[in-house]
Amino acid sequence: MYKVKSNGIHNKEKVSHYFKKYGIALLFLIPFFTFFVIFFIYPLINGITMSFYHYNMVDPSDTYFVGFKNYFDFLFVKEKPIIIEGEPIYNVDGTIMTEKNPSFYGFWYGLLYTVLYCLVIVPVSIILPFFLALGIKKKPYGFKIFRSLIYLPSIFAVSSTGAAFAFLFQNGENGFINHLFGINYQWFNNRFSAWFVIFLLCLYNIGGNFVIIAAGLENVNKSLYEAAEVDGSTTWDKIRYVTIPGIKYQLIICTFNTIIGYMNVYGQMRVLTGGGPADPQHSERPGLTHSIVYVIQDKLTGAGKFSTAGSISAMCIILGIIIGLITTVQLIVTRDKKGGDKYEKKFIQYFQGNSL
Amino acid sequence: MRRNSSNTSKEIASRIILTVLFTIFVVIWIFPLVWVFNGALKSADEWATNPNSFFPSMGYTFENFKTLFVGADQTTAYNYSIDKQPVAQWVLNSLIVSVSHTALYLVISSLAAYAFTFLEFKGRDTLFYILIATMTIPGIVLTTPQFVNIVKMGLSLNLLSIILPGLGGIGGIFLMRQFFKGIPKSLVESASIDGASKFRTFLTVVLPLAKPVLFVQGMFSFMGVWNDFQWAQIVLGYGSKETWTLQLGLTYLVDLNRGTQGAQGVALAASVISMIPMLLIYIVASNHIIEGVAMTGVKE
Repeated sequence: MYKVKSNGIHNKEKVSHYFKKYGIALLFLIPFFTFFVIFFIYPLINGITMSFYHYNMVDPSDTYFVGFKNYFDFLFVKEKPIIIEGEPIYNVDGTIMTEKNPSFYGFWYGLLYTVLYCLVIVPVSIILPFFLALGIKKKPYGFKIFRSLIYLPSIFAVSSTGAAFAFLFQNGENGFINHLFGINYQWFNNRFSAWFVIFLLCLYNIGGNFVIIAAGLENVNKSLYEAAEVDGSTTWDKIRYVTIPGIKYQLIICTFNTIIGYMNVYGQMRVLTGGGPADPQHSERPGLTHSIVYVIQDKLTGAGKFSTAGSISAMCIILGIIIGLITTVQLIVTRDKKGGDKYEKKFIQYFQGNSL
Repeated sequence: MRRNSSNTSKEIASRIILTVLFTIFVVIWIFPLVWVFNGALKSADEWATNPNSFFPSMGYTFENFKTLFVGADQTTAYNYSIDKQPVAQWVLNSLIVSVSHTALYLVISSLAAYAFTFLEFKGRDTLFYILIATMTIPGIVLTTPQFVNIVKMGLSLNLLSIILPGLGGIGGIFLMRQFFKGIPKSLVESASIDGASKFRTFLTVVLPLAKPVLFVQGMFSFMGVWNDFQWAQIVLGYGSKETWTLQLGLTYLVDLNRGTQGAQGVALAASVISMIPMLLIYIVASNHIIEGVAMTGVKE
């Protein structure tokens, strides 16, 4: 009896000891982890799983395993049979009638347009803020006001700044820009001018890079400039050999954040062009301003969204892997050899990068 | 001496040139925003008859805002044809999701950040680094299963579908932990020697000191949800207009009014409404925001 009782007390002490050690922390962490598991871990696992299924989110009986078919379908299948009510349609000569697979063209052309656009917008999104920051560093009168106004457009939703550009570049004589230049141009009917307006709207995002680069410039060692001065260096030499190496870290962070941000570009096209104009020669391809995320978003908001979640998820995962590879390169490039809290410093950018 | 003075006058001259260049740049830079505010205050008749006037010949008016919230004023020629949209409901929905998400996230993330900073438990830092590592997973991977999640939970077309998913985000915890680490441990420890429970220490010692970081994180959360378009389009876009947030409604109004004579002002007025909360935040806290963003690029 005594022994049991003693054990009981001992256990109770042990429990209260463990409660002190873990329980209190647990109470603080439970709210977060509840949401983290429900809205991060579970969908992450579920997203990978469902990409191997024909997945119908409202009708479980229509959900079955298909292996890599979802991936294979949009990666490799150019032509697929036309199926109406479960039956293929036959040509007169007995062969199965096929059509061009919109998923295949959507994925590859969406990706192509996105990458091509990145090649233009990313360098500009680094170079323009860089020169603006150089100017601000020279402290023009009222530089704080300039700084605030340059960052200002970054705080607005793409739908509100997009509204401005949609009406400024309105087709026809009533468009403000057309009127200003005395032209009657259909800005959104031509792929290059449509991309140009999208590009202008995207410039409104440079605020973040501008602020980061400007902060980096403040920390460049001033004695290096003085030394360069004594050596008789030109302004360009100073930029080339002192400024750029001095803010290398900021430039790398901005470059990768911008690449990742524009691999996900969507809202600008949605507001300005609606993904158009359509490709005149190739009706199977997506609209000429469709980014890859636009293609995915079309599927997620389109008519078939409830029954094709598996194949949409597969496409998201491939895009996720591509972006993940870019991230990996970034981690290697910015690897900090100091150790210690290195992970924290590396990852701080994701907080900002994800909200771009 | 002479060299010096010529240097300073040269410097002043270059600063003046720079100031002029920046002024020109900034005027062009923010012109589209000014044009939106200006255009929102032009009447429908002005837009229909004289769309390119910068200074409206018929004077400034709040007619477009009235059209948005009350309905078209049937006395003027062009305003008459503009359909009434549930704009007040959109604004209300956007306010509900932004405010409640921000409030909930501040509570949840500050509690977790406190545990990760001040409470000792085995595997604490490992756990935290695992969480941080999950931030490298691109968000696009989650969109589809998150939508499935929402549909299966019966939350589709419900404002909770915007409020809840972001509460599992790690960014705010990370930011707050960074800040909490700057709070002297002795302050927190002396409170616990006084016999205050961990929770009371959190409420009475840590939170009051953490006001700046709560403010910054609150702003980021509010702005993120208020400005969100992509996720809202997935979970609310296919419902009736009454379920929409302002950004969805605004995009709809822009699409709708692009071809309608005289209706541009209404869409621009909706755009102004969407900008106003951000603008207010920015006027109050632009320095905090700019410093917060600048911090993300600082290598220590």
